[in-house]
Amino acid sequence: MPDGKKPGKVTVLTVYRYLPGTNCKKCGFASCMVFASKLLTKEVKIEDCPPLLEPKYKDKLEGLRELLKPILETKETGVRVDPDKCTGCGNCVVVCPANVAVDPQIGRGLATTSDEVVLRVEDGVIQIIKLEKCRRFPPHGLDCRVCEQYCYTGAIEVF
Amino acid sequence: METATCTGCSLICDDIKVVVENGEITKNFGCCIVGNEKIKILRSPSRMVKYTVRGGQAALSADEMAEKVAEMLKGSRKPLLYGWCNSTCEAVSLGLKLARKLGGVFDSPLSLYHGYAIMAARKLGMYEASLDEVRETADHIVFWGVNPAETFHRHMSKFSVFPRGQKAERGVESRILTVIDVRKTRTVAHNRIIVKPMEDLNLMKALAGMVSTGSMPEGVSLSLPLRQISSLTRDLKNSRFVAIFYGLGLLGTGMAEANLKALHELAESIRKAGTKCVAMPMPGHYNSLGFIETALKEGGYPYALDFSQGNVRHEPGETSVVPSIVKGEVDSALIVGSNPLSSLPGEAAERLSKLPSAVLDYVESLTSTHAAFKVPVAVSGFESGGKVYRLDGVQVELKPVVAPPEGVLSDEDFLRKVYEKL
Repeated sequence: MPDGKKPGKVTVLTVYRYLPGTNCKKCGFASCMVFASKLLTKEVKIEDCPPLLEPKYKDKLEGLRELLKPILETKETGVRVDPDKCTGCGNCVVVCPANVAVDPQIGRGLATTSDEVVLRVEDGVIQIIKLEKCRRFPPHGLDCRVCEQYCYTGAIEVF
Repeated sequence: METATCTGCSLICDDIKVVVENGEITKNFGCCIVGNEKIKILRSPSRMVKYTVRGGQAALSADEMAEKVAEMLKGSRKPLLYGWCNSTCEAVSLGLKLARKLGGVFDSPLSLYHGYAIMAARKLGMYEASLDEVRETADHIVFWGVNPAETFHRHMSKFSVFPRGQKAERGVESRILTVIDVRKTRTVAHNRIIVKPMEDLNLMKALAGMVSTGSMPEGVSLSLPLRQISSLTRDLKNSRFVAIFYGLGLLGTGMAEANLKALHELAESIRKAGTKCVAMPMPGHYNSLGFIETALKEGGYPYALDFSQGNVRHEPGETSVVPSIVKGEVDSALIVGSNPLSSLPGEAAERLSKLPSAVLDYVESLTSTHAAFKVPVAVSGFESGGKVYRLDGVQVELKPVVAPPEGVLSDEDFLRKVYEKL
């Protein structure tokens, strides 16, 4: 993982470490790893893992609740750009999965004028165009932060 | 909406889209901060737009100025024609013709740093892959003594790191990034190696030895832990295509020759281990490679050409810009798109400031404030066309989208006027 920034990126592996790891299938899924990924996409709740509610997993349960709090409780989410810090490098434009879904050429590094993208470079700085397409919003509800992660000036803030 | 080509740096982005209204660019898409500043200059009040003679009051016409510059050059025993790396190949070509006719010295900032690196890279096949190929297939990128996060803003997003390529389908997640510098820079990295100043040479030797034989070569000491070196060795050998980009961190410390030799030995050892490898310098001036190509083709040498004795002479210790000035060889200067009073070593700058000079540029600089003749020129790329070479050697034809200010010519057109008046 590039060390340019260290945001609170929660991955499937991070979540997995708080689960029993026994693959007991009581949640209805094949393994704890699958349950971890479903937690992140909010298809299941923490309470859908019955063993986790037992006393012996108290620490893991508390840790998991703490870990997922920003993801689960956040209703409002968004992206803020500080134009004074932005250098128009385009890293965020190219990594944004929503951008690439609009036009694969963006994913190959080309400048875009599309009005359907989440963000694009205009007059040397980033402009947010269609924030609602960002993967943090429904129906995806993912804790995607790649724009913030790969911005090396700290111009992008995901909240 | 029109497509434009940007000459902010040697990436020569050709995917810029601009909105032109009433002959002005009112919006641009894709330019980084550097390109955007260049667009802002086009109609900025601080831009040079008049042909002026120091001490004179009236502004001249292009023809009158060309006459005066030709006079200065004709009356000069041995003029210095310097700059050129921010001009198109056509302008460079005219500069060479002028130097040959006048028996002058023809040189560029490249004779100080990047010229040697570019020549070595050409000779050793280090331009075998273009930036486009790096984007498509390189899976290990090394930035050594260069900081694209602050100097080549779109390098990583357009070519080397983030784009999804044919063999790097997940962009940054399909590539390893190694950054080697004397301090922690903003350039994104998986492997970040902080070396002590001048330690690059030993690190290159160590890596070359480790890649070839698996063990550290004798007599090479490093401040870095062996763990870091063997980890990087493993990353180099396990990659399919290593692309090394380097800059003044390796070239500007007085150890350029030794560093380049060791760097190319490292590249060779990586190639012998079965991994594709290129190592390209990253010159700042946008047509540095174009200057070298044109000077080689039409002058026979890549820089530091002296036409004063019939046959062209090339002796970097004598015919390049600094010795020519400091030894009192040249007695006037034609400076094209460069600011030597700010960048040359002290004594050379001091002496140059006292010579009669003509400066072609579009903003005032320290050099232009000392010039006898100030010649405003068009901004190549947005205002005037021509051929330039990107930092990987790919040719780009510039696509102008607006006209220069009234009466202002491209440097190519102005130089042609001067040549015709000789």
